[in-house]
Amino acid sequence: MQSFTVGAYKPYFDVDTADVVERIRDSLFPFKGNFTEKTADNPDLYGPFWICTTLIFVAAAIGTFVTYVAHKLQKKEWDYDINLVTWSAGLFYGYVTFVPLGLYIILKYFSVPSGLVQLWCLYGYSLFIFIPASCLSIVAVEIFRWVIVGVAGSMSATFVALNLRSHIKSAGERWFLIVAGIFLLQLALAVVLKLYFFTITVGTK
Amino acid sequence: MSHGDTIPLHSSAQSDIDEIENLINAGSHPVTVLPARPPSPPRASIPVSFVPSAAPPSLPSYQKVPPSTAPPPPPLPNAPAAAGSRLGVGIAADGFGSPPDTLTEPVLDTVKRDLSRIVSNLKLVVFPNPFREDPGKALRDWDLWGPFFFIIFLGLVLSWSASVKKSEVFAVAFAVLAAGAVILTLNVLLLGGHIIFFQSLSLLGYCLFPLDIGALICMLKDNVVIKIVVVSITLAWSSWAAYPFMSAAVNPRRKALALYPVFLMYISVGFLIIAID
Repeated sequence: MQSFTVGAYKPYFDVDTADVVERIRDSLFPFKGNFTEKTADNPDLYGPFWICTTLIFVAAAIGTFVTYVAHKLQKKEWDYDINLVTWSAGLFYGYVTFVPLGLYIILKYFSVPSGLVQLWCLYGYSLFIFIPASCLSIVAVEIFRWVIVGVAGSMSATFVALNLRSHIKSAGERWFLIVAGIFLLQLALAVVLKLYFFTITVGTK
Repeated sequence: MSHGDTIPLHSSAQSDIDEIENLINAGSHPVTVLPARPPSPPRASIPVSFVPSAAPPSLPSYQKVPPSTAPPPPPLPNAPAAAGSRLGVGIAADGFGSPPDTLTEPVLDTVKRDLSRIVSNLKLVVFPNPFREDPGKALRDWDLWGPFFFIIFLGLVLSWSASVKKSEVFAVAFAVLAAGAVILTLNVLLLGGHIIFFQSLSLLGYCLFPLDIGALICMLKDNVVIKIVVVSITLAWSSWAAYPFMSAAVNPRRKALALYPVFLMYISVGFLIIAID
């Protein structure tokens, strides 16, 4: 019953505006690697949740705008696709919820447990880079879009991997597999983002 | 004077007589001065009716009043007088003002009362007024009918404007708005703010009113540029309406954390309005 009260989750929202802004800024510099230490004693769930929500909205909005422009340029019929919003919600919320959960279980299996909330915090902030990347994807040049998505995806993946590296190193010989797995998953998310939202196929609806 | 002695001609006559008696007997007791407006009626409780023993026997001995028509104050000028006399002198039945007999009143009265409450809440929330900076004062008599109408209306307008997948559009709009209001309130509570859950829901619902107008205009005029202009204006209006309430509820260092999601929700609704055609 305790887990259904608001008070039970308050400790995870004990951040000020300045803290959140600083954490977001840290997520943009993946090579520092000290994000987990900084947030070890005060991981927050505010950042992950609202970054995810903003990303859903931004991706859906810009994706819609991009298809609109593409259709109008080719003088084709265009209808608003409400499924963009629902699918993007499922994708991002699902990713941020279940991938850290899976990682938590795997890390526990390898006896290097990390706090679940810390993992959620890390993954949530790692998604921030996709927001500016989505905004930049308005530019209608395919190559540019792929470059942007690639850069954002690798930055995000490096952020997650580096921050967990010191932790994972003590997992034994398998640590490289874990890091590679994390890296690939994050890149896969970036690719799905690009393909679903920013790849235009006119006239196939 | 006991009630059994006389049989009053009218149910309120007995209470009149009692009150006059008490006034005579009270003598030097000062009548307590009550606040200008009675406190909000308790919504969840079952009010005990003040019907005197001479009430028509067909009524049950206590009346359960549905929450939306819990004895609210009748049009404002009468309320202070009725409440003041009722509570200050301590009569057991209300001789002045309308009896709290909302179960047997005409439906039109109930509807009119609810409508006038919606309008007064709307004026407090959405239009400039001197109470805005104090959220406690501004929305004391909150209700959920207004927000309900506005959310449904917005969903309907969006659904009408859409040329395909009408029901999905309505579903998404309704879900986003309803879930959004709940999540925004939880967000404030989790950040350590002080806000009453349903009062906040009510408030966020009333702040949708400008977007409703915007959506209606956009449905009638299909030009993209006009849509963008109209939506931006109504969006700014909605955010301006919601700002003082949300920012007053949290610690000033977390103000932006509480306000940003509100802004995000209204922007996403605005975007939905522009995009649907």
